[in-house]
Amino acid sequence: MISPGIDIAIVFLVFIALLGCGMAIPFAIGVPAALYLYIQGGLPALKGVGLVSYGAMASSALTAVPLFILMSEILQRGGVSPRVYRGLSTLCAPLPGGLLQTNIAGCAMFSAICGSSVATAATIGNVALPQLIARKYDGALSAGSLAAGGTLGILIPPSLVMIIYGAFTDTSVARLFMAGIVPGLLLTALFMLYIAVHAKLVPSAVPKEPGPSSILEVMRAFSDLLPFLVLIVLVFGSLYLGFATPTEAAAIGCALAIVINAVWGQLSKALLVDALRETVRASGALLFIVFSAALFSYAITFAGVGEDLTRFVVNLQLSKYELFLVVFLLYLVLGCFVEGLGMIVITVPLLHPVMQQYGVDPVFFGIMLVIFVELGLITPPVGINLFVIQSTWGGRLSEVIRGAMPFVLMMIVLLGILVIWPGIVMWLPDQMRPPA
Amino acid sequence: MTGVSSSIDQAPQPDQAVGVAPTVIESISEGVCMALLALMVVMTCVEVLARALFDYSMQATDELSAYFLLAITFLSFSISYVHRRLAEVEFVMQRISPRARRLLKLAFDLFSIAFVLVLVWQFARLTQISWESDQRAATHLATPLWIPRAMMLIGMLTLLAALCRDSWLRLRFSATDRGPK
Repeated sequence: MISPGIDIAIVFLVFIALLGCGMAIPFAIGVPAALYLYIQGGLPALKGVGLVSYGAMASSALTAVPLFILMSEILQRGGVSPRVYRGLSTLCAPLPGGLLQTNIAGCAMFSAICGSSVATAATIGNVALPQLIARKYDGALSAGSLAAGGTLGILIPPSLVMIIYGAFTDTSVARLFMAGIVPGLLLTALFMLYIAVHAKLVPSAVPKEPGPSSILEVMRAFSDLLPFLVLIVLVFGSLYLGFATPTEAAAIGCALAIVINAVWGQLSKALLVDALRETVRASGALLFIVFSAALFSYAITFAGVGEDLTRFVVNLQLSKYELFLVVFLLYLVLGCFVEGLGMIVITVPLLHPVMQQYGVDPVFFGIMLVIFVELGLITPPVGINLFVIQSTWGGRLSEVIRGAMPFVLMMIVLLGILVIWPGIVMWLPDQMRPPA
Repeated sequence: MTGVSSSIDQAPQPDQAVGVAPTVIESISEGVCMALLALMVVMTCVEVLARALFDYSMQATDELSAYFLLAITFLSFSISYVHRRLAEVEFVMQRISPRARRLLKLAFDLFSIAFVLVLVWQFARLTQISWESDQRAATHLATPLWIPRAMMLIGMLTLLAALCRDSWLRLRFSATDRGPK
């Protein structure tokens, strides 16, 4: 009989091997999970698969996933990104860093309507890069700022990763959303600060941008941004005040997105049908990973690996800081092989009990986890944001990586700040009103 | 595409677009999912408005939304599969010969089919038990549970059909070096 520790190590190796060789991620998670279940309990263990699948996927928490994707799709098809970028470029131009500051501010604002980092990087990148190239901004810094800015997509709510983490750990998604706001804004400020310092130290990297020439121009910029600000305030205000659940907030967001498009004269049956179709395809891909991960989670629970691991870690008598350092290193290594969501769904069932044993709030751990995933998005070799920006820009990948590295350091600074002052994460969720 | 192809956010790349084409099964599934999604938005908005304006709740919105999500989830697996939207890491695939790539894909197809067969078997069992013992949700609607559970089974069957079609094409063309990559 192989010990459970070796068992799970073999299963992880099979998973990494299948993933690395190019098997689609949901199957690369599901196949070892089914195999592990069979090894642990034979056919009787497989008989729980039906009920576990039903319990995991008929989940009220997950209903917000397709609705937030739909809200973002409707807005994107109505031309949200050029408007946001145009409005912010007028307002941010006088700041040191000019359009690079617009990249970060634009990504932060777009993140508030889109729960995906890659979509944020790709959308803002497509709008920004032609202008940055035309105005002769430093290529590496431009690409790096967009790749890094994109990562705000999963930290600033709505975040699909947070919804999925919430469903897996039975943590309030509304509290997770609120917890992401302050760290998200702090990270935005750190990114903008770095750009400002870089622009001061290396003036040749950033051309001087003229500020708005008249109050009319400023008003026009605000009118571009106003509809999104209203949408963001209504969607997250309803959550904060306990008026709506995340699913209801997402549905309100969809309705408001339709109204905004109608006001702009962009609304059409074709737009809605396209948005619905794209949402179904994107949701299917995402929820397939969640489903496979639920099976994986069932397999490790069935084998009692979570308890074994918790006991093992507790016996090491690590301090909370040492534990976070170990988890950070684990994700740094895992991030080299596995993409973000896969990383979360595979590790959370194992780490969640350990964190509970250490008295770490699941909301706090969720936010740390999101930042770990963000780091994976802009560090090679699997940093998908790097590839997205490189393919849009057409430059060399090494340049994008070079441009993104200072932003990686900013994220590590943020992690340090949050570990030292966890109140930054927990303050806003603790102010929330309970749901009606 | 270098590195990772993410099905979540990106359109399929040209070299990935070759493969099993969507059939009438996927088209119907997609239409059903789109309709359920639209219905979910309308139903949830009506619930929020009714609660805010008339202090009235339909009591069934959460339950129905969860069933809709279940149907959307399982029916959309085959849709995402045929549209090449499932994320995969491509480091190894890009560095091996086309023949080796096809063999590796074929092996993955077989593993995937075996996995989906297990799920079909278990979901059929669950649906049958729910039907025979007349299991119902402990809610106002008292929904017969075989209905949402049958959706899981139907979704898995459509995925199985798509996987089998894909593998068959790969196998059929492997000798002639054509067909799905």
